[in-house]
Amino acid sequence: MIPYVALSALLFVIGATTVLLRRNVIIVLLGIELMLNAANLAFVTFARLHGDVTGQVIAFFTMVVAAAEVVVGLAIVVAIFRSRRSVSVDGENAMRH
Amino acid sequence: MSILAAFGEPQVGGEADFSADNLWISLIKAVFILVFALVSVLLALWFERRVVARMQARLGPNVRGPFGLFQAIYDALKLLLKEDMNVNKSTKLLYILAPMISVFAALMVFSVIPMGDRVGFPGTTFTTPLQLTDFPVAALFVLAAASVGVYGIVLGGWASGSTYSLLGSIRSTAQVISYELTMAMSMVTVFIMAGTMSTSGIVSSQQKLWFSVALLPSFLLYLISMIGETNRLPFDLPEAEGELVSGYMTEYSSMKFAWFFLAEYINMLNVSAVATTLFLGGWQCPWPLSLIGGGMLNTGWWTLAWFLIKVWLVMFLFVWVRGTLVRFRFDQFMRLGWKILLPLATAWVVIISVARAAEVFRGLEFNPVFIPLLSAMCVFFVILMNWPTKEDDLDAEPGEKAEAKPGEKAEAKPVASKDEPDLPWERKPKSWLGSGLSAWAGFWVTLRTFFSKPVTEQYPFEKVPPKPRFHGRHQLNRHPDGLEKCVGCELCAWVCPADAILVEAGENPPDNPVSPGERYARTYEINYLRCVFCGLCIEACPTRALTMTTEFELAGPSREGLIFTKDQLLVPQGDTRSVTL
Amino acid sequence: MRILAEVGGQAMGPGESVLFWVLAPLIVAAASCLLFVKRAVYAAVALVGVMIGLAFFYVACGAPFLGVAQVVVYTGAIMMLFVFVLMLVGIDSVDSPIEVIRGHRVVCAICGLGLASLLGGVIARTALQAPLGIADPGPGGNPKAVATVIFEQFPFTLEVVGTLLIVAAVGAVMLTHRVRLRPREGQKELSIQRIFSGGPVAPPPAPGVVARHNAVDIAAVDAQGRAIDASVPEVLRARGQVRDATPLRASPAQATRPDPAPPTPTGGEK
Repeated sequence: MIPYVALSALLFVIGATTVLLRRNVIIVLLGIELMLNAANLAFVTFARLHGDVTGQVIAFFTMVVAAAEVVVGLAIVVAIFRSRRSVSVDGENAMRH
Repeated sequence: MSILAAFGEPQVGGEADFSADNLWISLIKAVFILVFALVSVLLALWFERRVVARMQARLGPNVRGPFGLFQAIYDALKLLLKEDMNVNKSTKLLYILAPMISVFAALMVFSVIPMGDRVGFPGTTFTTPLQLTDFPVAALFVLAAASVGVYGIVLGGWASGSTYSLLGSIRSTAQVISYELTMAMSMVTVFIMAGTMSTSGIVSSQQKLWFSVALLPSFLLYLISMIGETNRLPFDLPEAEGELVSGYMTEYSSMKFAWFFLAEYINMLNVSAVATTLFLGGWQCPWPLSLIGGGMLNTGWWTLAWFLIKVWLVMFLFVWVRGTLVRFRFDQFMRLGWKILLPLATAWVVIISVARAAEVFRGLEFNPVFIPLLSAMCVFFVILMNWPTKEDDLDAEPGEKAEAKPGEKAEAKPVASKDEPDLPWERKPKSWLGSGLSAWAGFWVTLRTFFSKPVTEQYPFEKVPPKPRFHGRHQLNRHPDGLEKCVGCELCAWVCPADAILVEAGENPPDNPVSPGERYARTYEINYLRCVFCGLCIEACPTRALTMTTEFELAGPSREGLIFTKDQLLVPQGDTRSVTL
Repeated sequence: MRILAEVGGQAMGPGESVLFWVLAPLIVAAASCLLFVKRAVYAAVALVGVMIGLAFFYVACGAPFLGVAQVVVYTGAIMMLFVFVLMLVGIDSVDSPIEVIRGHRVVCAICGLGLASLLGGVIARTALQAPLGIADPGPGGNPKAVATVIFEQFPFTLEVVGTLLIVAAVGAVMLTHRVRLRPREGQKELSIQRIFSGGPVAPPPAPGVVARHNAVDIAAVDAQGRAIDASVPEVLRARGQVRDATPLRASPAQATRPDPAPPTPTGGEK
C-alpha cells in the first residue's frame, strides 16, 4: 500500500506547490482540486488497508464538497473577471492608479 | 404480490455469468464489438438517408450498390481521400486528439451492453453471454463514458482556433451536459426499480414487464434527452449550417472529420442500445412471441436478433424525429432541458423513491400493477395540464401573453364559412382534441409519406425534356437581318438580384453597326455561378434580346468556365431557332 | 466481475503492480504539467488525465463505484465547469513569465521540497499493517455496501452535503448575477434601434462581378463608374486585400480586340 500512499503524497505536494507558485487563479483552483484528489486517493487506499468501506464513503463526501467549492470559487472568479478583466492573482491591476 | 415480483427478482441470479471467459474470449468479443459498431454506423448512414428521403417523398441514395447500400462506403472513402487540412492557428496536439477522444469514449459504452443471452457455438460446448463485461456499476459506466466524450467536442472546438468552432463547441457542450442530467435522472428511476446498476441485471429484471411501460415518464424523458445528448434534430443547432457552419467540426476535414462523424453515429447507436437495455427489455423477446415453443425464441442466438430489432426501432425513431421536427433555437432547448425536463425528472425520481421505499422499508405490499398505473397517471396528468385550448396562440413565445389593449374587447376571430375556403396557414383546429394533437400531426404526415410512393424523377437515366417555360441558360438573339437585338442598355444588369450580369456598352461604329441604333453591348457576360434563373432580366429587356433556353446542364469543372461570355450566349448567324420564353 | 473480485484484496498482485507502475508515472507527469504549462487549458486537460488515471486506481483498490463516480462527477462535471469558465474568462489566459515578487519561484520550490520531505519522512517511518482488502461485497456489489454505510452511519452528513450543494449552486447564481440596469433588448428593440440610427439599413451591395474572377475582393461599380467601397467585406478592406479590377475586366485579347465587324445583312430572313 505504500506506493499508493506515496503517490498520494506526491500529488498533494504538486498541488500545494501549484497553489503557491502559479499566478493564474484558475490554475490555482486546479491545484486545489489536485490536492483534494490526492486526499481521496489516500482515503481509498486506507479503506483497502483496513478493509472498511467507510474510507470510500469519506472520499465520496470529499468529492461532493470539492464540487461545491469549485462552483463557488469559479463563480467568484467570473465575477471578478467581469470587473477587472484579468485572472491574475497579482493585485497589480487593482492597485493601479 | 409485491412489485418486486412484477419486475422479476433483481440481482440474485440476474446478472450474467462470465466465469467461463478468459482473456482470448474477451479479446474476440472486443473485436466483434468494434466491427459491429463500424458496420452499424455504415448501415445507420444508409438507413438514415433512405428513411429521411422516403419521408420526404424522394428516394435517397440509390446509385451505389443495390438500394444504395454501398453509399456509406463511398462516403467513407471520400472522407479518407480528401485533403487533410491542419489549421495553422490551431493547437496541434489537442486538435488531433479531440476526435479520438470522442470516438474512444463512444466505443467504450458498447462493452457493457448485453446483446444477447448465453449463446453456444455449434461444435463446442462453450457458452458465453453476448456481452463483453458487466459489473455492479455498469450503467453508471455508460454515463461516465458519455461524460468523457464531451471533452472531444469542447477541446475540438477550442483547438481549432476559430470563432465559429469555439461558439459551436460551447453550445454543443452546454447542450450535451444539460441533457445528460435528465438522462441520468431517468436512468436512476430504472436503477431504483431494478435494484441494480448492472446492465444484465436490469435486463433480467424486465422479464415480466418492460420499464418503458412500467416507468413511462422515465422512458419519455429518456427519449427526449437522448436526442438532445447526441446533438440530433430538433436539438442540432450547434451543427446548423446556417448558424455556425458546422460548429465544432468546422475546421476539421478528411479523416479527423470522419472521426467526429463516426463518434456522432456511434453515440446514436449507444443511446439506442442503452434505451433498449434499460427500457425495452434488452434482448428479451416481446410478450406474445415469447409464448411460442415454450420460450424458444427467448434463448440463444434469437436474443441477438431481438436486440438488433429493438435498437433499430429506436434508430428509426431518431430518424423519424429528424424528418419531422423543426430545429429548436438554443435558448428554447436550454429552457426545455433545465426548466421543464429536469424538474419533471426530479419529481418522478422522488415519486418512485417514495413508492419503492414504502415497499422495501415498510414492507407494504403493492399490487404489481401499481407502478405502471402510477406512471400512466403521471404522464396523463402532465399532458392534460399542458394541453392547449382553442384560444391559445401556439406560435407565441412561452411567457408572452396576448396583450389586450385596455378598453377594447377581443375581436372575434373570423370563422371560415362554407363558401370561403380558409387558407392553409389560417386553419385552426376545430376541436379541443385537435388543438393538442396538431403539434404532433407532423409525425403522422412523415409516417404516411414514408409508406407512400416517392415522386422522384429518374434523371439522368431518363431525361425528361423540360417544358418550354423552364428557366435555363440565357441567349442573346438577333434580328432577322443578322443585327444583334441587344442595344447595351444594361437594364438586365441593373435588375439582376444576384448581380450576375456584366454589360459594357460600346458605340456602334457607323459603317459597321452591330445593333440597330447607337449602342451595342461590347462586353456581355453572365456569371452562372451567381445566376439564380429568376428571369427578371428577361422581363427587363426592352428589345427581347435576352431570352432563356431550357438548357440546364451547365455544370463545369472550373469557375472561369462558368462565366459565359457574349460569344457563348449569342445565337450564331443565321440561327433560326424559335425563341422560347 | 470475476476480475473485480480479485482486486482490492490483500497486497498488490502482479497485474495490479503493472497497472500501478505504468499509470503512476503518467499521472505524476500530467500533474506536473500543472506546475509548468503556460496555458490554463492545457493544465485543465492535464488534470482531466490525472483524474481518469486515479479512477483506474480506485477501481483497482476495490472501489468501483467511487471510480466511476469520479469520472462522472469530477471529470464530467467539475472539470467541464473549469473548461467552461476558461472559455468565458480567457481561453488564452497565460501566466506572465515575469515574476512580480522577486525570488517567488525559488521560495515556492523550497516550500514544495520542504513539504515533500515532511510527507516523505512520515511515510518512510510508517509501518503499515498488512492490508485487509475490501471484502467481497456480495449481491448488490460495492454500491450497496457504500450506500449501506452512508445511510446507516452518515445520514446527517449526507443531508448537510446536499444542502451545501444547493447553497453552492444558489451562491454561484447570485455571484454571477448581473443586475439589469435597462430592460432586456430583444430582437425587436435592436431592429428598431438599427433603423432609427440613421446608418445604412439595407445590407451592403454585393461585391463586383467580372469575367475572370469570382471572389469577393473586387469592389462593385456604381452608376457613375466609381467603385463602391462598402461592397467589399470589411475584413478584406482592413487587411488591404481589395483587388484592382482593371486587369480582370476583360481578357487582354478581348480588351484589345477591335469591335466586331457588323454582320453582312443576309436579307429577308425570318
